[in-house]
Amino acid sequence: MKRFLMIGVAGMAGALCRYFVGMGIGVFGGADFPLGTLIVNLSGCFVLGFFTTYLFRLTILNTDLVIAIGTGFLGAYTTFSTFSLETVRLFESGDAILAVTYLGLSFLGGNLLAWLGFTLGERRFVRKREAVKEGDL
Amino acid sequence: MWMDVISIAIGAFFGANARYWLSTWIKSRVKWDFPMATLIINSAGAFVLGFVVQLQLSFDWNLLLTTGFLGAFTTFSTFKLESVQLHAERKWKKVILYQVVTYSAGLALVVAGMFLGSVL
Repeated sequence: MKRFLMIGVAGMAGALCRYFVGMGIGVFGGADFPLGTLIVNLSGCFVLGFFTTYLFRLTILNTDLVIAIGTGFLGAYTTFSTFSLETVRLFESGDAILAVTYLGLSFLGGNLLAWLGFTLGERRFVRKREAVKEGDL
Repeated sequence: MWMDVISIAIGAFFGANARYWLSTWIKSRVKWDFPMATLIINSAGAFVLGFVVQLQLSFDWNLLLTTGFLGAFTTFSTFKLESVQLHAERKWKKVILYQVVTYSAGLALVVAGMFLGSVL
């Protein structure tokens, strides 16, 4: 029950962040390119990667909180369904170049940023562990 | 404005939970070394989204179901994280398979959902 509520509340926060970032970006990005979803998805990839190898491995968060942040907040913040629909809509409207650009940036950018977050988090975690070990001597 | 926020919040509350509990259940049933749970959830979400956008729902119901529920139910960050984890374990073939199937299924199922929504 506690986990259900925590995931739900974190999911609300994540989805609303996505909505407001999308609205904020929409002002600059224009209507024809889904820049909002792209920025949300790419930033979420980086943060989840980093949290997975760093924050979630420190013993400061309990399991419920890790699930609420990782699955609840970041899972709801980033989205695959809207991304798919936006890509199909770009193809439908005859903007094949924009559609392929959106697909390509999501594909490459998502992989790159998830990997970057994952790698930086890993390095930071290892450094922290070494520092703790030296402190014990 | 407040109505938008409430609609999205209600949808996302249940969407995030639906993903967590369904994914936990799928992982308990399917013991493959492959991220089936996320793949099934993202594919299903793409199909339902295609279907829902054809239904001409009211603005608030649309926000609740699409931006709220389906937006929170499907995920891009976990999909990419799982790919990076497979990559870190040097399972190259699985990385390629996971990405190709996810993107292909996502696009094809949005189209299929739209088609079903338009004929009903």
